[in-house]
Amino acid sequence: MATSSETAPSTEEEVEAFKRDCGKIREQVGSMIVGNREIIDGVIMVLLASGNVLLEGVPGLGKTMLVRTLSEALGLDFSRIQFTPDLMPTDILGATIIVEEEDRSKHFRFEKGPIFSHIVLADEINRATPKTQSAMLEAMQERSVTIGKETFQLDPPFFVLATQNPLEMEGTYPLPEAQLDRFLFKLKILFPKLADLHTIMDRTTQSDTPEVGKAIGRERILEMRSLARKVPMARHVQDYALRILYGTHPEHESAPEITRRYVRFGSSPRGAQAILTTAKVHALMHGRFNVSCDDIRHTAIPALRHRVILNFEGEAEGVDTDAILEEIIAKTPETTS
Amino acid sequence: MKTNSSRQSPGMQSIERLIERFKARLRMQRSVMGAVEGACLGLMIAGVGVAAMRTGWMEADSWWLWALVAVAFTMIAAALRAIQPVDAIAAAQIIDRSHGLHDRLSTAVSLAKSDDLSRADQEFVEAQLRDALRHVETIDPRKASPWRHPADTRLLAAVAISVIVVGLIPIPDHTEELPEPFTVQYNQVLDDTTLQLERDRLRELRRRISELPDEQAEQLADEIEALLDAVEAREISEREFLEAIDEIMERHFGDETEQKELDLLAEALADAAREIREEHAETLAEHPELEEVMDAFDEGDFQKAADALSEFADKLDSDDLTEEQAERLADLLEHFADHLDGQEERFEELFEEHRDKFEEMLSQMDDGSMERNQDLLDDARDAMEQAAQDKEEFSESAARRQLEQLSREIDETADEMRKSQAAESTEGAEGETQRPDHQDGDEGDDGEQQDGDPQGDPAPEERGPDGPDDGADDDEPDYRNEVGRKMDDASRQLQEMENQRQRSEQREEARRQLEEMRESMSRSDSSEDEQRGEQMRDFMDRARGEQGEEGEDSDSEGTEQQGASDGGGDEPSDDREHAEAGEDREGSDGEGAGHGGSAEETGEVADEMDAEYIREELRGQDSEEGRSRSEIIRSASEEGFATTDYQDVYADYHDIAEEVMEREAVPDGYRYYIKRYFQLIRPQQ
Repeated sequence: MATSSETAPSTEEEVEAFKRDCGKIREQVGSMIVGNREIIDGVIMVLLASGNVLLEGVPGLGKTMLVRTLSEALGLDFSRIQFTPDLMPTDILGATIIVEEEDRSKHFRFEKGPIFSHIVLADEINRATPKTQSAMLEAMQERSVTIGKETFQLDPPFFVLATQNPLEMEGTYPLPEAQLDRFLFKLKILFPKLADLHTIMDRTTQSDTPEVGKAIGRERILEMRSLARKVPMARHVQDYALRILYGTHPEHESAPEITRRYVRFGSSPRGAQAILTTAKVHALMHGRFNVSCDDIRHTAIPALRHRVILNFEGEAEGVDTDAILEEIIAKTPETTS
Repeated sequence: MKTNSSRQSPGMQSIERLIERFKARLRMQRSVMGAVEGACLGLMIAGVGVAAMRTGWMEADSWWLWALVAVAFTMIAAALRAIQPVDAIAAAQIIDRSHGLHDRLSTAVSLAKSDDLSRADQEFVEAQLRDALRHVETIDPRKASPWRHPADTRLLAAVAISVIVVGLIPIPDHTEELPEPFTVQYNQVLDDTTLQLERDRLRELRRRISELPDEQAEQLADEIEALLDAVEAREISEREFLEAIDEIMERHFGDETEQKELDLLAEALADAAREIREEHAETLAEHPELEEVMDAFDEGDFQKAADALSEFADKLDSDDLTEEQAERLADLLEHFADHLDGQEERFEELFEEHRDKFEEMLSQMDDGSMERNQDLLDDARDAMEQAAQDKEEFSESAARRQLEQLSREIDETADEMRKSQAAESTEGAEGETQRPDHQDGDEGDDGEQQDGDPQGDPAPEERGPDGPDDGADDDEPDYRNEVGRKMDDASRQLQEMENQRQRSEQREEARRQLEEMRESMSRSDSSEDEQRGEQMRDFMDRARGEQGEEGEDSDSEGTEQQGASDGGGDEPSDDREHAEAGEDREGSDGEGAGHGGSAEETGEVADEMDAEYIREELRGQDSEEGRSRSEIIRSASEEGFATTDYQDVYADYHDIAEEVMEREAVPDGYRYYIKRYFQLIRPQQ
């Protein structure tokens, strides 16, 4: 007991290791993915916060490459599901098939679908039917798959990255608000800057393609997840996050004018949960032992942007949800005293 | 669950001390800001107070109150802000933000207060506390809360400057900005020329007063001068000017008894002189000085009479008179004294005569043959009442007393003259046969005394017995001196009467000046409105012309009006004599008489003109024919002139009357009168 206590790393060491490992992941992913540093950090935060992330961006911006690189850097299983309208839940979850043995005996055997991977890329999830989307999202939430009378647990760390194409919305099935709420973050992949684009061209048009090394393993990811949950949260910081959350509700007294004008529904408590859990990860990624208001501000927008539902006026005027959130954050003081 | 032990750790205490230091600094800064805010408010209030002091709304010595208000507000605001609680977490957050500590201190403080932490949490909290402590040494409270000028510093400076400006810069005195007090300045009642003339007249009057002092005349002159000053300063309106003149005249000339008495006196002396002149023409021829005295009495010139009498007394002292001359002279003086005493009898006879006539008229009235002479009867009654009143006034007047005094002195002069003659006879013949004469004289005196005033001087009776003794004892010059003294006494009495009359003339002169001032004002009024004045003159000329055409049948009212216009007077006088005099002057020198026909009142003009006139009273008669044409024209000139043709006026009113009769329930009887009325006044065309 004494030996184990002596060998157990101190909190400071754990935090330092957390920060260092995050740096490794970022480094390995960055070797393949050019730019989009915030997207990479966001994906890492959601991964370590035990959540799932929804990526939104036009095709060709490296969404699939990002997920593939991340899986390689983490040494985890990776599967990619291209959602189409005819995609069936069994195509995702798996199916029970008849298997003939050598003795020519036959029996049913469950054949696992692509969801049984550590990292799942649900590409263009809005193109599948709601039935298929629902099966996918249920597995994401429950971390298990029930086929018939048998339930199969998904092997942690289970991490889903779903993508949406904001342009080709015709013939798609936009995710309902209840399903969107299941994603911890919604990250927007922007078009790379000129310098980044040069780098991308250089890397992808040459014979030598960079190789992604393994940064950390599966066990380490689980440890890091556990450590992230230990980060204490001061009451005034948590109060700050909740006041931001209230700011998204147009009926609340603290809501700014832009919320009252353009927002129909504010975020659910899951939004605050997403802010706080990712804020803890963000604090650890920066080697801190506490969550600051800066962490809250950093994680609030990706955690809330898909949870705020605009009203007709907001939709008609093309108001960006991020603009509303930025104003809410700006109008919310850190302290009430 | 474990209690958070980090609260008691030395690291936490150092954080708390740091925060306390910061809070103290924060309180101080807040106190300074509060002081500035309080000073602003206090100075604003003080500024109001200073402004109130400068503008006189408050006492000037209450400046300390406003200074105290400013200081009190500053102190109170500073104290309130200093004791305002500062939250430790909020203070820690300020430090975190200022030093980029990402809420390390605030989280440490917050977690230290939390009692609900697990073991794992406890380890992490301690790690977090250690992390915070690593940054404590780098924290500088001054950086966290740097000194900043209070936001209201500029406002404070502005308010302070405003207060200084209000307190120091001289505020325009609003009382100086007030317009000049409103002074009523009327149009000048009299023009400058008239004013100068009146002042010259007043100077002349004062010169005369200085020669013969008269308190009433002097007071009158003062009041006239004050009135002229007011006119020159335009402090008096026309109405006030007229009222002032009326008031002065009422106050000084309300009682004309003195003038009447003087007139009575002069008349009595004149009557007596005329009779003496007829009865003792021979004696008067011997003594031209005495005849001059009688002439002066006849003319009513007391001064001349006094001088002549004094001269006569001197002559008596120097000249020798024969016995016969002295006797005749004594008779003359005695008769003159008797005539003077007989004035009351003259009134009595006059009264009796009026009463007889009145009774005779009454008897005729009883016959019913003189019913139409009711007016004559009334006049007779009035005349008798007037005679009775005159008798009453004369019996009580000072004129009578003066007359009696003069009569007594003349009578005594005659007695002394006889005594003097008797003494001369005694010296010549040593006979005492002269004494009966003296006895007669004494008896005459007694008789005269019985007829005289009951209140008269008993001296003649007392002196009667003593007189012969004195005359027997005295020598001739003594008798002559006594006669001279008596004559001198009579002369002084006349001189006094003359002075009294001159004083009366002075007052009368002032009265004329007042009346002429009033008249001058009327003339200046008419000259202001030229058009109206022109019309007035035109119509007055026409009125005068119409008056002439009316001829002799014009009544006394018309004559009075004419006299007033010629004399320049603007008010009809009730004095018919006045009007009569005006009529006389119109025939002689027109405008030269001037100013309301004062000739008879003063007597000078009439005497100078040497006009003979018959005093007779004329009374106007009520006529059934309405106003005369002159009256109509005059009233039209005063009330305005018609600008609309009569045909138009008639048509308008006739239409209105017809309309009313159609609309209203007018009785038939009245309808007839209305129609008849309009029928009668319809235009001739």
